[in-house]
Amino acid sequence: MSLRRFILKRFLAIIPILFGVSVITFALVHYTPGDPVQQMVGLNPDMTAAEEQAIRRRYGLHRPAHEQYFHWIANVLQGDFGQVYSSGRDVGSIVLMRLPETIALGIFGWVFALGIAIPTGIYAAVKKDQLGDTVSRFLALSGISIPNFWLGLMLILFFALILDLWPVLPPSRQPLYSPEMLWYLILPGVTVGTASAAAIMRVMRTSMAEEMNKDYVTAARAKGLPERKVVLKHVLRNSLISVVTLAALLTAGIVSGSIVVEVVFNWPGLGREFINALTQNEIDLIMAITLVTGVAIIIANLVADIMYAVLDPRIRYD
Amino acid sequence: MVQDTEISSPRINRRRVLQSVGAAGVVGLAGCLEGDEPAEEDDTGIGEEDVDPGEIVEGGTLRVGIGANADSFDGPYSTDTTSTLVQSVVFESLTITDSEGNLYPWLAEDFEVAETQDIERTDYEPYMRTVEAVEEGALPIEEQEIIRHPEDAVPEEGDEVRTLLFEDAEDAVDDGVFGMRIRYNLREGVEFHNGEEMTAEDVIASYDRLKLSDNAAQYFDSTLYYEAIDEYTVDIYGQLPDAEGARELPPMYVYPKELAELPPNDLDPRQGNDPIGTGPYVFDEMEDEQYVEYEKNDNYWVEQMGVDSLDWFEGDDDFPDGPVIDRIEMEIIPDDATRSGALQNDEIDVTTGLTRATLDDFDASEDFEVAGVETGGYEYFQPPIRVEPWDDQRLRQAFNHLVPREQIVENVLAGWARPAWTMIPELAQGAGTTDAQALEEELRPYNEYDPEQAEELAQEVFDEYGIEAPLEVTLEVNADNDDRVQMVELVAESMEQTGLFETEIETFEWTTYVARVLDPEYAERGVIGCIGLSGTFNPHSFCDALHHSSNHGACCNLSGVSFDWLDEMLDNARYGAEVAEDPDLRRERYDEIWRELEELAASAITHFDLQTSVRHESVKGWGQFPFHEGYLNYALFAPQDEQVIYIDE
Repeated sequence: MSLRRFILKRFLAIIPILFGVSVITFALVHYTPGDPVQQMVGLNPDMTAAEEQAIRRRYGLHRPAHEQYFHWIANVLQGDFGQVYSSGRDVGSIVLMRLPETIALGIFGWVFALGIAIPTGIYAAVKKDQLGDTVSRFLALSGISIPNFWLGLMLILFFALILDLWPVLPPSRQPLYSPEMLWYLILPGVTVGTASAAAIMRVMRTSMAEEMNKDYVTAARAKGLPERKVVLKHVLRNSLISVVTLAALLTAGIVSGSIVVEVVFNWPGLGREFINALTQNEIDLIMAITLVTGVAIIIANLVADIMYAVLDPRIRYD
Repeated sequence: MVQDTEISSPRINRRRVLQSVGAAGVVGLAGCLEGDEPAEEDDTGIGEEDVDPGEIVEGGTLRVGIGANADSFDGPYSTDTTSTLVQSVVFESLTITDSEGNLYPWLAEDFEVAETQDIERTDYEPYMRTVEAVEEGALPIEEQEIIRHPEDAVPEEGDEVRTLLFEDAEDAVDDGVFGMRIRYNLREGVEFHNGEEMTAEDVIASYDRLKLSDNAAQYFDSTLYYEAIDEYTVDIYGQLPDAEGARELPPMYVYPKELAELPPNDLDPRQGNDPIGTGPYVFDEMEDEQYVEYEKNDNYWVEQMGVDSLDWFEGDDDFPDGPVIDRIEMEIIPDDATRSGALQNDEIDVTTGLTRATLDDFDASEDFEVAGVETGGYEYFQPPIRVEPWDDQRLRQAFNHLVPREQIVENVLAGWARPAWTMIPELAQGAGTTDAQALEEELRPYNEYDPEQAEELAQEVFDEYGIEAPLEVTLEVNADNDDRVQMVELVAESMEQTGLFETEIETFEWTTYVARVLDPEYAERGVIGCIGLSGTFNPHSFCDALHHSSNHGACCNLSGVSFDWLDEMLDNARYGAEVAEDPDLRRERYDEIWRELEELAASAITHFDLQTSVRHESVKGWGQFPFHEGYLNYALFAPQDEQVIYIDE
């Protein structure tokens, strides 16, 4: 199968996956106890039954669940993601506004994770069972074990409150994609990327260590190739296959992990919006953010598959 | 308003964890809070300070950390307190209130209760039309429903319902059928931020915007009709003679007509419509979820006319004619720990809604001031009054004696609240009792922790009903409010220690819990519910919501308290020409109600919350308003209390 056909096939597979995600999410949100209109009644005790019904009708919440779903999906296919009940604002525009913030944070976290994990993993593998390896394994284990909200709070405490190098709040009046923002992305980006960096580093180390014991490495060394070239040209390429797969899978972790990090760092992205939506039972907003996250994860997996094949020509598209 | 947390917004567990860890981690470990001097206290609140007008420094930017996004600038279509907060510096109303609830004319130069008549809801019957109820009691009407015939209040689907619609109310008013009429004479020369003068037409348009809005029910439960008499005179008619009419009838905010006529939810900068009011600050810009900014209104009418133009102002001659701070920047920071960190890092000047542990740390610091004042928020338990043996008031009295109010306040709330020795908080005492101190002395013994008395009362009931101890009891509470859960645990422990009760605690996620307790069937479950509620300056809000039969299945008579005599007492303390015209009579009637309610013991209010804020010590003169939605507007400039803040750096 050609690469083009493979990509096309995978793109087509996205449709049923997203449909499944949307059905499951809708069912979960819908059947989870708690009703957005009931919550509004709780906040507005004078609301009459007629007014409650009027609000339900305005947002289509008076319909049976399955009708609500089909109505929602019909609207989504036309680009209408619904409205926020508390303010009547358009969900699509909210998601579009918040998405770049989360993407920026996710990309920074991901780049940080790879930037730390790959060289450290190589170093640990090369120095296997030596002090450097032990230290890097300890750091990796710590990185995996530390909850990212706690790490975020500690980074704020140390770098913002004690050293006064960063503000606690992101500079909301700076354009997101400005050079100045790079500085401010560091703390939340490091927090988002730390656990992934640790996981990738461990896989990198193991993979490298395995590769370095293989015959082709011995042969390369026997041919007199410099160790640096053996490691970086031959071993690294083969080791990266499992790392790429993991890195893609961890994209999901970065996206979901950023929810808590966005709250801690007051980062105005989809994660913080998702928390608000959950607490207020904003069904359309929850659905839209879930779909966007689902698409991101599927695309990340697709990219992983493609990279996998590019890195290892023995792998065939199927 | 059902109250979940201090800022009345529901929270999930993960966030609560963050709050706790954040408070402990950021504040505790930072080590930048020094000193241990207690907060300065006076009669009106904690940490408030008087301002010498001669020392006021003009200018500067006040940076405020707010705990939630501003959902909307569209008052009639926003129900959350944060939205009201961001609107409060831009828009103004016909009247204002001081921190004790006294009303003053504001955009209205004066107002008077021009007429009151003893009218009952049934007197509107000739003007009502009959419509058939559709699903769940809702009526297929597109006009504002004003009064439903009392006999048709909760119809089944298909039942015919008699109702008075807004378009028919005019006929009733024309025929002289109304409860009260309040005349508002508008101040001439008040200009909106766009330079247009405010007139009666704007007031009427603002009220029109409320019709059929999300907040319509709050206004049209008391308003009957409104009309412009001339360019600067508006009459607002109340359905019944209402002692709270002057507070309840005027529209929330006065909008310029062009904004008032916008479609629902469109009065918002995110919809391309900047808010324009008469207020002291002009909306500058906002970034959704990030910040809202305002500039001082250089054409503010109070400044133009001078504070002395307010007839009732009796303050210092040097008191400023308007707020002195030039610019306000509201930073939206939902997480408490982050807000606390931003305050310490000098990125904001003031914030509210911090955890109690954090408040203690800030309170002990020389660099920060904590202000607190008793608010309308309270928490309460309701035993299942309709279910045997809890239908015996002796058992409910026993339960009330097992609620350790002082322990709750000291141990659970770290002192940031006041035990509820009566059912009326300080802010409603002016209208709700003839002598607050005497009332407390009289009723406090009913509410004191007294296990011996409780055992005696409960044992009597057990013997009579042939109940063998321990009696199994389930207490219910929402899981996402740690303080409230601890409070329930404390009460459960207190009950178990008597050996007479075996308790079980069930917790629910907030939205689930709200739906559960608002279900009319909840009263039959036989459980003791615990929830919070936010009252107002109106004493009615501390007895009616919990005990009037009309609030069963609504908010917040959870256990279905329903007695005709009590309904009548509650109604007679607020409605009727006698109490509308005679505040002393009203206070006497409330005193009777508080006594009856203690005997009845249908509810056990545990404590009254404090509304708190923390600020840098450079922010001078801060006075804390009892309600979250009004605290900033009040602190900036409130001549009714000679309140003004400035920044002295």
